[in-house]
Amino acid sequence: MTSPLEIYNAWQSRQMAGDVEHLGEVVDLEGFRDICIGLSDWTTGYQAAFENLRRNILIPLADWHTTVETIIEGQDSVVVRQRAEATHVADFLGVPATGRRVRWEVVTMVKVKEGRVVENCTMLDLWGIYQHLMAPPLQQ
Amino acid sequence: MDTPDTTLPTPTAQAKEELGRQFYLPFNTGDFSTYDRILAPDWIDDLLSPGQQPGPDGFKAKVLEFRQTIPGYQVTNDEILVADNKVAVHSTVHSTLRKSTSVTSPTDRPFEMRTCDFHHIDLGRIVYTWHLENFYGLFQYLGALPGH
Repeated sequence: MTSPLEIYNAWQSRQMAGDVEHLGEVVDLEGFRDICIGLSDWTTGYQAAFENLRRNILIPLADWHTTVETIIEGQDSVVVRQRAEATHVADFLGVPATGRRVRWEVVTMVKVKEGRVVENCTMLDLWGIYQHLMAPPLQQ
Repeated sequence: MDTPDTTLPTPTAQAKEELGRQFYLPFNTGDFSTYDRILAPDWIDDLLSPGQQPGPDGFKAKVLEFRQTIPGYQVTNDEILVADNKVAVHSTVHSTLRKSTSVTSPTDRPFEMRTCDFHHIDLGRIVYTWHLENFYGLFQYLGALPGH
């Protein structure tokens, strides 16, 4: 497995499956650097990054569905643009749970080294999500 | 505006990277003639900003507005990745913009905003650009988020 995209896909599938035992095969667990722009600053170590992901995104936004729109793969990096949707079930961006189904776009830039993910930079359309959550409810 | 020369050879990855890089120069210099060279006449900007007209001319007007509204507007390309006919660019917008609230202190950093763009290239010109900016961070910095 040498392609950055293959490594990225293996990381994502293992993370979603909770396959912690084999995660270290595709992620540099100790050296992993991560940022989610607007939600968390740079951290080092997979555990800290996953805790941020869980607290900032996975808890407030449930029942995820994502669609890959564009992939650009380089020699040691891959950029993925996706459309995502989820249900707002807990406080997010200071907005209490609305129960709304929200949709947004997200870009992930991942760097790999020696067959493992070493860096992840995620950028969500936080402004789009915020506007959706703050919009007045539609009249029935 | 000239019609693209369809006899041109397929641009190299390096040429595509340079095309992507040139997209940001007018933000810094105000020389919008760059867009006459690098954008296709029917270039699509996805999504248009509020009040922006479609096409290169509408974009020139919007960039001019950015430069006039946001002091010291400068874009730095942090990462550029090229594959096939696509160029991904992560950038940081720097400005000398500072909070206008009474809680501003001399240690406050000027505003910075991360952006990410995907450019599609055909016949040596950019034909489509999808973009994402951290506007939430901008409004948060300015204390302009309703309800906060």
